Amino acid sequence: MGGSMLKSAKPITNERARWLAVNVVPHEPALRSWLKGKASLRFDVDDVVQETYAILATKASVDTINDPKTYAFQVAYSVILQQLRHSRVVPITAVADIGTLETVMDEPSPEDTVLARFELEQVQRAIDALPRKTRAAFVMRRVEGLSQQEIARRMNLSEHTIQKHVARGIKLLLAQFSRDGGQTVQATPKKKTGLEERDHAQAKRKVH
Amino acid sequence: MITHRPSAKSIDEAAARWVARLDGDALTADEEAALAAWLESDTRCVGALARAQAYFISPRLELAMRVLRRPPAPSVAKWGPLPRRAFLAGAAASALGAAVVIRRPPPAPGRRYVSEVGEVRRIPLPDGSQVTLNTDSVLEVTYSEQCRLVRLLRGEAYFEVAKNPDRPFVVQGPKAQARAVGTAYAVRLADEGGGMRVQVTSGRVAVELPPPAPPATAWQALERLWTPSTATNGTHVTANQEAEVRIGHGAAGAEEVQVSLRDVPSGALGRSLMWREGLLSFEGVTLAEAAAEFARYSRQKITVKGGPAQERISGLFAATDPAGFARAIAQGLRIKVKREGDVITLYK
Repeated sequence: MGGSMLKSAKPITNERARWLAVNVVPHEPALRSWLKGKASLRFDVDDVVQETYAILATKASVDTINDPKTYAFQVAYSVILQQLRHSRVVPITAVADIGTLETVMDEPSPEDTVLARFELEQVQRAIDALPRKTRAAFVMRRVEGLSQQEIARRMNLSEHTIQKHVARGIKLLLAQFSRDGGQTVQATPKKKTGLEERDHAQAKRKVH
Repeated sequence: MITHRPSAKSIDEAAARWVARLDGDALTADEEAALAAWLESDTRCVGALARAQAYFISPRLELAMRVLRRPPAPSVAKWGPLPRRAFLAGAAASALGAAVVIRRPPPAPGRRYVSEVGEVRRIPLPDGSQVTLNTDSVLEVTYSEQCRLVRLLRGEAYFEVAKNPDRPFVVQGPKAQARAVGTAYAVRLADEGGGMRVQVTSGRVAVELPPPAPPATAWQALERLWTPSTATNGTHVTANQEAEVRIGHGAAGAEEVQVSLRDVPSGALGRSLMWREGLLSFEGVTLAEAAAEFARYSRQKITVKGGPAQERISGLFAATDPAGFARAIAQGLRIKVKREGDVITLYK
């Protein structure tokens, strides 16, 4: 396993979540593309990203971090090293690659910064790709600042259902910015879930 | 020990459910325990939950949702006569992922007025407003349906603006502009560097700076459009106040435009606007300062040598008669005056 000793039985504060949202999330695509370039080390990019967030989330203070992007890259690097140390079978190429890793780590290369960015277009596509009701609930929550309870009242749905929509929205957005990398948003046919079928059924009822 | 290692994907899904749950009402004791147990089961859960929380409250996601929902409020677009539609079009373009270019309008050919050195001109404008153009000044007037635009290209002018809230009256300098709906104010440009002084005798004027450098990314453009502070960009100058626009350089060497505001006793304001009657009024200024002021109004230049330059003087003088001023000063301060061509020298 990750081998890190970080344990926190509590979700992070809003303040820290905001810091991550502003300082780390926008660099995540660059971080991922850099990690993918180290594929020969046979680590799982998603694992490393989650471990990296865990370290950034549980760090006592982030006040002294001047350059969050470089810092996040360094944390990811330390995660990889630790994983390699703990894995039983170290791929032969890893030895050489750790050397390159170190030289690259000193300064994340400019191409990484330019190529993979947290683009507005990509974010909008991700939001656009959300199922209609999920998006509606999400917008009411995030843009209008309504509570889940209030959204439930307005959409005439149970709070439980609203919570499912919110959860699904987060899940799809997270997926958009990890495994898919936002590349296949429109290509992937949406799988119909129970929630969505209900959406459709309701939409039909409303028409008549 | 054989443990079942959950996939990153399944952890993300659980994290999404927890964030949605935490966003609802308070957790029950059982849920608290379940969450703690889940977080302790794998470090990746801690990271996934933090990441999900961060995405959930991401200001950029919120921004993107706002834009998809409706175009931004138009209150921000107020620089010069730029129609609001241009800004909205910019926002719409960015929503489509195109590059955002917010351009200042091309200088439409306006009517140009010039005053010679020593000349003070009164110019009636089509809407009933009056411009008094001070010495050695140039301005260009462009009236459109939305805006009465005056570009002050050199020197100083006093504006008595006919009230029309639907058609703001804007005096544009190189680095800042002064906007009014119905008021009287003077705008004077510094000789170089783009500095500007705005003095208001009645009503209210907003001194506005242009939008900063064109946004480098669509995010920047959107953030600017949505940030409330830019909507109130503008220092409001009311009667008996003056605003000074200064151009400085920041630590990184980038140009910084600053606006400072101060109260001016109405007597002092009236005195500094005596040029409208062709007069210059001084109240305790140094002789060097007075000489510099006279230099604006005449080809004849006064130079002051030595100590007398720092003598303080008061009085009312004809703006276009520096020789008469020099004689009066020489008499009052008991110093000498000589004239060689266009140069008048005051010395001890």
